[in-house]
Amino acid sequence: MSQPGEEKPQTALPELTAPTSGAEVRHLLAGLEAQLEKEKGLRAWLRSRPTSVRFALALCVVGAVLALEIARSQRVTEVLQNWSILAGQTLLVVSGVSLYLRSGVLVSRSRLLFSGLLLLAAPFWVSLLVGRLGNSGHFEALASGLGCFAHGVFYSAPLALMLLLLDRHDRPASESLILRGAIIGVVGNLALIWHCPSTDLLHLFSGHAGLGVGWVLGWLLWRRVGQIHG
Amino acid sequence: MRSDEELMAAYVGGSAVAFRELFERHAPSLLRSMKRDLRAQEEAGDLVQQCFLQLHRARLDFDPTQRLRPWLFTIALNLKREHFRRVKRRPETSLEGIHEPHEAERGALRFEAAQALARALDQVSKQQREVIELHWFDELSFHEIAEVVGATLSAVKVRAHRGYAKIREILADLELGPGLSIPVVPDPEAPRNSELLADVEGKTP
Repeated sequence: MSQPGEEKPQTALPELTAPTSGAEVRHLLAGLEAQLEKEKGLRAWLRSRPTSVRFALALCVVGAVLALEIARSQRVTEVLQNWSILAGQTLLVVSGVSLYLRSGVLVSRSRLLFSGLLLLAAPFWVSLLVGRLGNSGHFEALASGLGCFAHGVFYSAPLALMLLLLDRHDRPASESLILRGAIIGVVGNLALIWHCPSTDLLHLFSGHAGLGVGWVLGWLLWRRVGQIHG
Repeated sequence: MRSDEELMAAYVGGSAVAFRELFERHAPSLLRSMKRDLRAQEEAGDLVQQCFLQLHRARLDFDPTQRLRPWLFTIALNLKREHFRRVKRRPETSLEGIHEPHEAERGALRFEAAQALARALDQVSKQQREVIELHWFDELSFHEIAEVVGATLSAVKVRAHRGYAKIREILADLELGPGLSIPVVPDPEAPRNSELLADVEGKTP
């Protein structure tokens, strides 16, 4: 609809705006209705909720994961001394989830930029501690890092499932998968802060900071496998 | 006739008939838009279906005080962009399957014009092309286009002005046909420049 005073363009060459046949449109509608018939179950229900509800649901899972880890933690007082790091990472998660669930033309580039920020958050936090860190350089530190990595994956898996279920796209773009992995990585790191007292640099980089990268690579691989088999 | 927004409200309320009416109203223009840019015509149909599937999933996000058409074209544009990112190429105007029925009746001259215009569209920037397609072919207003592409009204007008100017330059020697010409969009920056010029001239002793 033109605004007052706005001139409508003249019709372009019909060769470039050729009418589509009614039969073609009806055929597409039949195909679409068949797809809509399959829109049933938990995933269909979750992803058709309003964005504000999807946002709240994702944050509930984040809260539940962290609450569980805090309840199990033996070092609450110690961790709370680093409240600024906790607050900063929580803010990143909230903003990341909001960006992940939003759609729009300008979103894809923002998603990539924000993913970079999220992926750097954990290494940055580790770097902040460098003065206080030891570096054993021992194989044991790497091995225990893998233990923490597995723990982080386990604790962030419910969020991974929830973000997957809330995604409205059947074929999500790479930016969306990268952001999804980066958010889950930060939440896993937040859980690990409560879980692990290690101050070994090798351990922190391999077991904690690498979690986001691991999730990103995991999602990209998951999509690739899906493309090959589907 | 019920408006798009009334139909959408009815669909959110559970009316499948309203959804069908919306599809029949908008699918043809979306399909034309997709077909123009995609080489594989069956992919165009697939993207139109995806567009309405997204509309279905996001139906509870629809704000009845906003217009539906720009929202629908935003979804379509996102899907188209994602598609081109996936296949790692930029849109190219396709005349496949479109020009054949028209060629005989409209003559070789018109067909040549269409081909030349398609080639010209391939030479303007991606942003200018999006605006031109939405304005010239899909007949959206600049206000609607600004909503669709997520840019300011003046940025959209600048893109249209520059894009049309480039197409005009490329097609300078070509007659498009009776009653057809490339739209002229005034340069939104021009008044500001002339005001500045008048200001400077006024101060010149």
